[in-house]
Amino acid sequence: MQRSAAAVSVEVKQVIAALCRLLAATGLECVPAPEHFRRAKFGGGPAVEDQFWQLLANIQQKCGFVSCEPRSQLGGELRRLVAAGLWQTGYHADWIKDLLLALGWLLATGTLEKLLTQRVEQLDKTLILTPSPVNHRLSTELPLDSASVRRLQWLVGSLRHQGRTLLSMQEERTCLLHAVSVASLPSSVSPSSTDQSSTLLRKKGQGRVREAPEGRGEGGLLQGRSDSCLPPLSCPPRLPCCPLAYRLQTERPVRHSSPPADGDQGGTPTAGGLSASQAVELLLQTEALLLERRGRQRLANRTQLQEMIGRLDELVLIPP
Amino acid sequence: MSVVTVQLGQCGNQVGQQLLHSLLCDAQDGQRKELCTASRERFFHQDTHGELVARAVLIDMEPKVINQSISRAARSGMWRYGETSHFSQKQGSGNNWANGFCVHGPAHREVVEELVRREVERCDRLSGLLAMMVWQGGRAPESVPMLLSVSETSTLSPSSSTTSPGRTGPESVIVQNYNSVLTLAHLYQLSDAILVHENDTVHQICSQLLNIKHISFADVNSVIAHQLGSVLQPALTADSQGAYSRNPLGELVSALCCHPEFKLLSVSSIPQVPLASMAYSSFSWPSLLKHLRQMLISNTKMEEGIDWQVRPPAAAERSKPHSRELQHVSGQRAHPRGKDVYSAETAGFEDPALYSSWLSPQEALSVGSPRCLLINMKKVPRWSVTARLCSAPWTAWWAEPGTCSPPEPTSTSTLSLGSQEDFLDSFSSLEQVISSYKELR
Repeated sequence: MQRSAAAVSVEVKQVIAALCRLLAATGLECVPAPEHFRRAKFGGGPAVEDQFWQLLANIQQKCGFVSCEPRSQLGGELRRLVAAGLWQTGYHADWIKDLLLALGWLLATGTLEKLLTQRVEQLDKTLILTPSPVNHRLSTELPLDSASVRRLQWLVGSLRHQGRTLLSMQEERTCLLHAVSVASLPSSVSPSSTDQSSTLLRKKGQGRVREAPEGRGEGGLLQGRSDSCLPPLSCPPRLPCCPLAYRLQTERPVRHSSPPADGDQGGTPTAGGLSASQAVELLLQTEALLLERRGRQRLANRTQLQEMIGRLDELVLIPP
Repeated sequence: MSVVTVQLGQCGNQVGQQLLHSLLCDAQDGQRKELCTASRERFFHQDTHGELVARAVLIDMEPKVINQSISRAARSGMWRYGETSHFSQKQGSGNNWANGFCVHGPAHREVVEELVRREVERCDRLSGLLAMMVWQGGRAPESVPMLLSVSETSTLSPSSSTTSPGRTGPESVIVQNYNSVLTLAHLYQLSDAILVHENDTVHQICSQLLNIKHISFADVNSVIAHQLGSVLQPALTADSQGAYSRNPLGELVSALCCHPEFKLLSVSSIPQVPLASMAYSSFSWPSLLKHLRQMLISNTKMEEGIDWQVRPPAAAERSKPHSRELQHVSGQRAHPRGKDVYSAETAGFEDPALYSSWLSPQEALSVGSPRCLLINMKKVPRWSVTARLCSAPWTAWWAEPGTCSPPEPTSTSTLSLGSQEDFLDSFSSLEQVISSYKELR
């Protein structure tokens, strides 16, 4: 686009003039002349600045951001009023000295449309375009210093990050629980098979749950050892601490992102295999079965330990 | 938890390769086994043959640097990049930001998304994405806006942190400032934190502290990698109960970037000593900490040329307008590493005068203690601090008349590929960021 600077300047002037007419049409009382907009771009002086302060305050009062009449305010009070109103609209910067920018902010938040709607409703009582506006009156007595606002924003951000941290901790906990489930499986079921599809787990894991009699696995191991020698007294199995679970997790083989070549292990669902929802359902069922089996084994181990300790003289088992 | 590195452009790919190599060497260099395991799990995964493969995606508009990085990693014999974890085109686009954002981004969105998604899915638990790029430079910046374009329209958002070596010297490309502004404006929306390395500072470290006569990209990358490694390597904290931190990026962001307007981070790392001088140098924690504290107070990025005249104001004077020489920060995170690390006293950093008035030192300062050593620094205490502050040079760059005013409609062909509203939005959002930092007290 090749436009001369003069053409651009004329267009801008016309746009500003149209904006001034529009602002006046909405019923605002303190609309500066278009020439004052141009002067404001370069500072403009105190007279121009006062006009814009009045305009901003008038806009905020009409939109209901502030409750005080701007004409009744003088100097610093007026500026605090405007700052309070701008803060309501999300304008948290200290640089309200840039009045044109503040006006642009207000216009960008839909203030002009709101003023027009109100004006139309005033002119045509039979036309109800918007519901009764909620009175967002803001007392000018509130301490609206930037430090308080910044601290509030910092606290909100801190809470948000704490939420994320808690979510990540929950993920960690889920992973540890999964590691415990894997560790509680009998040694004949390799950890790698638990990473395969739930179909494989249903075939192998469930079968072993049905076939393995009570007392096998961890409990059976203890029973066998007790025949030859006394096992060292130790606390019943408990959840591994973080480093142990960490090692368990790193020892597991990496899941491949692409489907494995051999399909008899059931692998990740192929194009003709389980859908995601079916796989999730099967995995959840398998997880429930494994947790139940873990609970039964723990109870069996505990019972065996208590029996063994009961047979030993002068020894008392103190469960954790 | 794992970190996926996204390496963009020449700088991002070279620094990324050096960073991953440094992290692995540090982890395997006679350190504790737990640290080695934690570091490897964080940045690498193992393939079926037991080889370490980086959790990384390499993106560039030209294949040359990507191929170099891949081959360099493979030659090390310790790790490698994934065979399909890279994307490149056959040609650049003449430093045209809009070309990357409006043309290449949408055109290659699916491919880039797929690459990143694949790496993310390989992670058991994802801590975040670490995008590495240059945001003020001439060579091949299109990959940066391309990724920004993909990120803004994608469900995969690099919402953890980015690192971005920046340069504040004389411009080498005429549209460099525009590229920087547009990139930073978009990064600010997408990222939780932006860690900035200034090339000028790194060059000074290489020439004045490390006594390197002919500074190469490898030297610069090595310094940056050391600084990043000091932040990203697993660390212990007071409440971690003997386990290494599991959520590195989350902890970093939580400690330093709670406020949405303050996301820019910088790293100060000391000592910076040539390897040849190591045997003849002695260090102590009090001396190092004293130097580092003064570096932070006087906004000096390296250990040489510290202005010792700058002092934080006394308690009675804090209500007065503060000295322009003192740069307040809104957070610090310290990573002391080395021998006798528990003897390091951090009380000097708990001075309220160093921080903004709306933050207490307890909230602003966090300390990690990995009890390990960075590479080649076996018996040397080393301290690295991640501090957030607005460095004076580039706010001055922003304030120079005509440097970064919104472009006139006829001034650049970049506008033919984008809308002026996008430019104005980027400029205004960055103006607010700059203003917020200037008001930081």
